[in-house]
Amino acid sequence: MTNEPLIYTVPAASLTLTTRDIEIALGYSDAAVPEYLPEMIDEALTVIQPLLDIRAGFRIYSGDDVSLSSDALSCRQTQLHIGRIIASRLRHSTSIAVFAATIGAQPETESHRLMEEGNMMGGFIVDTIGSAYAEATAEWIETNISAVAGLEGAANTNRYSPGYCDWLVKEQHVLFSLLPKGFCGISLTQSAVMLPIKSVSGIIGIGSGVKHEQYQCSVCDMQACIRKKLTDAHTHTHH
Amino acid sequence: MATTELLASLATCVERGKVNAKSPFPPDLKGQDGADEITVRVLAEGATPQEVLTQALMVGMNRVGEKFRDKNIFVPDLLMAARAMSASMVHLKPFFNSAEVRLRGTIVLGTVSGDLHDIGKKLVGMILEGAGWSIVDLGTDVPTQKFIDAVKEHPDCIVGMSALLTTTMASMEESVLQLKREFPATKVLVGGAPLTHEFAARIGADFYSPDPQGAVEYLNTISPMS
Repeated sequence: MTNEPLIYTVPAASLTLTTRDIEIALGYSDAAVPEYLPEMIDEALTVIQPLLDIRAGFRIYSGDDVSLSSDALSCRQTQLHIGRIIASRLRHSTSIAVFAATIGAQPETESHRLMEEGNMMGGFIVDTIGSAYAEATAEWIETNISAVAGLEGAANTNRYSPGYCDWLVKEQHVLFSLLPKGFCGISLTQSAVMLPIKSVSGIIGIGSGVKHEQYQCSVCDMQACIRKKLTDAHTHTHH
Repeated sequence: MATTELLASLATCVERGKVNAKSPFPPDLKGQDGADEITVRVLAEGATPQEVLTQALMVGMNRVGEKFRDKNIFVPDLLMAARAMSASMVHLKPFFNSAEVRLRGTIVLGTVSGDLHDIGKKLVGMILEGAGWSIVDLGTDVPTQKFIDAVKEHPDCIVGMSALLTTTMASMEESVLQLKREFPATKVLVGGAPLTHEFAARIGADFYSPDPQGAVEYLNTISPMS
């Protein structure tokens, strides 16, 4: 497995996002979709697609470069305090892929522009589509990492990001130190916000003894977890 | 149609997001007058601007806030309701500088230093505006001094702070601490996805709610409106 950083320019057409995907992202998984919304989503998709500058990449650390403890991961001399839950999920990994993905800054700029013009609805829909594209890009890079792992007969874990499962957001700085400076055009603010905002970063474990699991927020008691709150809200909507 | 019926219709227009007669949404109200036309009519029938605000717009927006809290509607529905309310408010704005429209007070809103998230705060602002508050939005990445300056400019205001990252919760703590040191009587509300009641209590904030309607209900107790 190569240890060289790999960066891809991802054509928007490789990421299939439908009107229905965005309706679900806006909350309408079960609830009736307002009549006006599909047309607004289609219009926003048309607006956002030419603005996408999608880049994603990863770097794999393997063998002696990687060591795991009960709550931390070391890649060479750099230690990530990933917490016990993620560490247990990464157990049996023989390699770690550190990844980042972004859709560029323009969709965010367009969303702000629309809102400043007083078009909150348009701005919000563009923002939601941007988030959906960022997540789809992370999915795309995970699929690529999975393919690389598969070539050597290995499997991969889920992807894990700072901010989830007791892994503090501030560790973004440590995570990005494992990637070349300005990787995929992403920079960090002092408070660990990725710029462009519509970016995703994280790690994926690789090895013959690891597996991809259903994401189980129930095993974590982190009160400040955004993902958990969103998942609970989603569950609440369903039931 | 009597004034009370028109006010009730206007509340429904806000609740359902019926902006004006041209708007084809919602389909069951297609072709009917919306918030725009009904506001003109009800004012012409003799309703006071204050009655329009308190007996129609705030009633409609309160229903919207409750449905949003209960996850029966989502952000687009909320934004459509806000559009309908804005269409009505256009006709009330001329009365704002006279004593004919009394708002509950002023709320200064801002996303704390280091945090660039804007949309959640804007949505809260819309719901609070619909509850009869004047909103001063300081934007994102707001340093503590800017909150303090805003309180000096609006001495009886309430302050609302937002943070969406665990890394910027520390900024929020610092801002609340300094603001309370200088203005102990100023009420400070906090919100944002990673926050908890425990965190809000620890940093000395007066109130935290996971949803905007909770803030509306808390603020109603501070500043009831007849």
